[in-house]
Amino acid sequence: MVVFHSTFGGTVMSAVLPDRPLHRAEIEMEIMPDGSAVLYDPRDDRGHVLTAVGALVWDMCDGSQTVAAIGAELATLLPQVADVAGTARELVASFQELDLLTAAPGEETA
Amino acid sequence: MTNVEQVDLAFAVLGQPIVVRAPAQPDAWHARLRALLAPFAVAAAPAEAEVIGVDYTEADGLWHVTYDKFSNMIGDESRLIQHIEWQVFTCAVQNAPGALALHGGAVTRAGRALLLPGISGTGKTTLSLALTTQGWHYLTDDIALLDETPAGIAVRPCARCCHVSEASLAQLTDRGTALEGPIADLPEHFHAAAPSQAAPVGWIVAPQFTPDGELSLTPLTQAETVALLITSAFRQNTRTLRQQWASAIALARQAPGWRLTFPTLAAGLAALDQVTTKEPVP
Repeated sequence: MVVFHSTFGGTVMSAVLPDRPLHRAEIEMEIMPDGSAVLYDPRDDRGHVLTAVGALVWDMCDGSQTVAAIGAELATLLPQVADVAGTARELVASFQELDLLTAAPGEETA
Repeated sequence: MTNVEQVDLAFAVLGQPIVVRAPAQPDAWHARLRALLAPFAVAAAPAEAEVIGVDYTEADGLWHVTYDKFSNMIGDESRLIQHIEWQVFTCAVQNAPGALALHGGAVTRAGRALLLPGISGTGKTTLSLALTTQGWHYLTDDIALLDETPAGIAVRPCARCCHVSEASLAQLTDRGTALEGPIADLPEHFHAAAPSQAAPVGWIVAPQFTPDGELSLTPLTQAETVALLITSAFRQNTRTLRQQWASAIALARQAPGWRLTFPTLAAGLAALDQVTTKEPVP
């Protein structure tokens, strides 16, 4: 049975974030017409629900950008959202906590 | 047991042939089971039918119900027929071809279905039955098998007996809901009016009856609707998880999802009326 985690966001533990977050390649993302998205992790049949902002951050976790750069890009895209860089950090921390990320090339695994 | 004369009680549920193979004697419960599963009774089942075995042990006075390597011991005949009925539907749902099988109720009006996914106790049976007094036609109250059709993903009707609590029965009776029963001398089992024809899903509302709570009606994102559908789904032998996942995504694209918390039946019905007066996705 697929298990769903609740929508990403909210309070997240103070984890050491990866330098350049990279999502695991086998995780599938389906972006819905309303901008929300679901992730499906075939490793453990878990599903995850993303808001539109979460889907954007997930897409940016391609190993090419630092968390700060993701936050800065998000702030440019969404200037009307308060502390969007903080939201990006929380989302990346959530992804990491749920073991959805992997080490980027040249980066050691945690 | 060996050398005991046996009889086959044959049923066709959700298109699946199922046989309950039981001792010919004692047979007091046979008629009760047939009444409980009356809409699904057939004269005989094909050889490839799934078989649910029932044995009786005189020494301990227990019935043994066996299916798919699992066996349950039951002493009381009322519990026996309820357990067999549940096992028959479990077997049917697991083996029925269909895009998705959900724990949920459903009604239809003007060619569109309102799907009410939810576990037991959320109020989906009471809402499904009460809606039949407001221009809706009954499809199912508990098991919603969904098929892909040219008109979209549609809910198949299911005439399974409804489980209605005494409190719900009083409210439904007040509203003039047509119910036949109690069935098989089981005080909470009733047949609803004959189910309508399959209809594509137009709205998805997850109900939650909370007598001490406040009314709330919250739209879900499509991703949240996918999660709702998958967490309400039964495991199907005919579908991989990936296929169920794809069907849930397709259904969330087809119909908007809502979460409804309601303190009274009247409030719940009013909220559903508010949702379903919006034009469904064609």
